[in-house]
Amino acid sequence: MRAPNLPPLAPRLATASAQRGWRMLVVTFTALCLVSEAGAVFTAFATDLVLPGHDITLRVGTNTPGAVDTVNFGTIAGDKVGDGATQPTAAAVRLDLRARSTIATYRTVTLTADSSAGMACISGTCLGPGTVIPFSQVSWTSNATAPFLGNFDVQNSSFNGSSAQTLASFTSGSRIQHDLIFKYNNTTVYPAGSYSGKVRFTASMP
Amino acid sequence: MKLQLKTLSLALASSALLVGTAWGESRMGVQPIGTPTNASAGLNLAINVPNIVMLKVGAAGATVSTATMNVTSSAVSPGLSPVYGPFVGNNTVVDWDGTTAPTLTSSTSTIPVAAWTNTSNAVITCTTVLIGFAGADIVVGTATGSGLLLPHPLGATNLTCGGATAALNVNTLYNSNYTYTAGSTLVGGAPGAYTGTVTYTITGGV
Repeated sequence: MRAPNLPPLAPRLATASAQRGWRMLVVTFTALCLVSEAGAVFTAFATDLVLPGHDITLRVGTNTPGAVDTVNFGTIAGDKVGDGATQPTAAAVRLDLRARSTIATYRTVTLTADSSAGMACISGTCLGPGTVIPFSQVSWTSNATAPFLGNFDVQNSSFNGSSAQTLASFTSGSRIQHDLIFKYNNTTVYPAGSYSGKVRFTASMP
Repeated sequence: MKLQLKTLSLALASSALLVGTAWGESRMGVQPIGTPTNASAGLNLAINVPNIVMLKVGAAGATVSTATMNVTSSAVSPGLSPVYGPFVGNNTVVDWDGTTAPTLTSSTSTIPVAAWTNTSNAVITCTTVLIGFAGADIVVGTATGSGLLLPHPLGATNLTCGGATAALNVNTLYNSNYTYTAGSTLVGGAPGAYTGTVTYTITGGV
């Protein structure tokens, strides 16, 4: 966890074009810094006094437009299946959540995960018994592991297989960015085959 | 200076747009004040579990176990109890009236066996290299151990190795014993030391 980056509120009464140009440059450069920081996890930003309502933007995954990304743990080595010590990992997944509301109506933003479906068998022996690997076999490490000012961003944890597992809760006017590294816990030997399932992350505020 | 500033601002703004335009699954929710707001995004997780077959015959490890069967004789005098024998060594006094041929008997060797698989259609077959006797000369039985009875390849009661077992159950431990006894043809045959090797193979996932 690092200290938040708090950009100054943009003056709204500036009229000179040169002043607007400089201001645009400063704001744009600040935005670039935020975007480029892979480790940035919790950022407060100026709340718009004239925002007509609330908005939430949530992204999970890499830069592939319109597609649900896949965390592929690959194939476990035959002599390591179920040993609990060999825990396949996958490339880090970016989770980016930004929530805004009017300054007079700060809201509590909650990020939840629905992992109730598990990873169902899609091919192989496991089709016979219809095996489903519960998502509780999947855990993750986050690049942020401490709460910030009482607001909890996403901590190291595991899916619990529920339909609404709370992962983070914070006040609107903030943005959290995480690189999550998922790993398969590999504590059970399941029937041979390929398994796949989807976790759905939902951000909401009242 | 002013032109350079605008150019720089435009470049930075363009870069920011490039960074921010393409996401994985990216969703946004916008609602007026007073209306709950949410956005959700999915993430697929996938893993492959390989085919695993395991077979143990005899002691664990790389050493090939030996099932030793000894043929012993006993002489029976009708009406006498106990029956004398087996006889070992030279010039042993026996109560044999000469009216009944001695009985030759093979000892039984018990070999622990175990099998497990996470694949469908896993079966066990065997092949033999026998010197001076045939597979049919060895009587094979199966005996209960700590787990399910592991069937012996066909023929199920000798070492003819004419076919495979029925498919083993998936993710089920078989832990029992094979018993080996020399049959009457071998027991009543010429004296000597006979040796041979039977190789068991488990095959699955086909």
